[in-house]
Amino acid sequence: MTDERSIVSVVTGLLYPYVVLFGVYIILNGHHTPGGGFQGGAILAALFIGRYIVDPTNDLSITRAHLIEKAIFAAIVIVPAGFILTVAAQRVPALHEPYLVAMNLLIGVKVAIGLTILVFRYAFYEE
Amino acid sequence: MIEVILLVALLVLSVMAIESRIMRVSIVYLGTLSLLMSFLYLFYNAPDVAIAEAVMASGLTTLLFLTALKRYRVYRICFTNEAFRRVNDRYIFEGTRRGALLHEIEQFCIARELEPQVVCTPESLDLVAGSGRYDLIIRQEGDELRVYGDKENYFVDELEVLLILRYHDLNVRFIRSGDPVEEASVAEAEGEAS
Amino acid sequence: MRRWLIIGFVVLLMAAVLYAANRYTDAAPQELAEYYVERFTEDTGARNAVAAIYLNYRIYDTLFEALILLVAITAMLHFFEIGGKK
Repeated sequence: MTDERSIVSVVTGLLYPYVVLFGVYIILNGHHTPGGGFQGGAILAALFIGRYIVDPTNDLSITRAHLIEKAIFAAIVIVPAGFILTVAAQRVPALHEPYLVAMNLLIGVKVAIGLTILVFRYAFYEE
Repeated sequence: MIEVILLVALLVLSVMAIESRIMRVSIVYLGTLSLLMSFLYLFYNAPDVAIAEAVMASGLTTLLFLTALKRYRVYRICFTNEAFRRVNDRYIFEGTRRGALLHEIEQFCIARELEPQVVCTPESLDLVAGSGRYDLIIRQEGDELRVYGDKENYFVDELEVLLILRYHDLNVRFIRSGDPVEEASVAEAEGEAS
Repeated sequence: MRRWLIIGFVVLLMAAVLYAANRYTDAAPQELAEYYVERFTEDTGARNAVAAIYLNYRIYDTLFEALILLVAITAMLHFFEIGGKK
């Protein structure tokens, strides 16, 4: 059991920074290459869940994470409502690219937090 | 050609994932299935969907299933006999046919990647079943053994066949229901009626 | 018996879904797809057509998808009361 765990933890520790980099790349470059907020967020969530498999410590406040998620959802509604659904989208075409990046980033963080809450809630508390 | 090979491999893997008796192997088959599926999406020129499939199905759900397996690996068995005044593990386990049966159940669990945890107690069935902590309850009544287990669990199916084949001399009776607690109370009521 | 009933139900359901799906032929016009493929870079500044569609042309889809995830997690936290038994 201990050997099995040490192999998994060493490999996860080696991969950790690269997976973070990959997830952030997929989110930030989603408007130019395949990928986007959802996929990158899922990669980041997989990272947190992998960390749980290696070392099951419960240091995530689910209530606080859920609050952050709700705030980000509000931002996800407000940003398109203020830009793409108004005349600003036609008047200032230079803002299109920053808008795509911002939306991908928001969606990515939201998906990562959401999936992490789901799994942590399931892993640490009984029903 | 590649497409046909991938599609056939998907079919084969999905059948294998369903038919495999060992949970952990099934999970690995499912992960492989999703990986091949994401190759197929890539083949159909849908890299976005391929990434989503690879991350979600191949990574996240595999991790989720493994987490679930890790949590539900302990199989709690309770052996209860109201005739005992106090519990003595040596008396229960050593030298008797009943001890051999409990040992066999433990081996059976280990072979199926479950961690058996046997608790012996003189408490009454109501109390044990009411606690809701046990997956399998074995109760000795005189020279009859009654096993209370879940109705829709394949594991209990196999256990039933094994015990009835091997230990018919012990008077083993299986009582199966959806819920061990409910079943125990029903059995109590029947016993009182008859 | 119960198993056969379930199988029959599933087959009937599949037939109904296939029938409904084939009856419904009212698709978006081909010109719309061509317009998206040709014009998405000028319209949205994205080089990935998928991102252009889900963040610009079909933004409501994305909004409600995000809402679904939020509602699912809120419901889960609500029904399995949070911080209950550990």
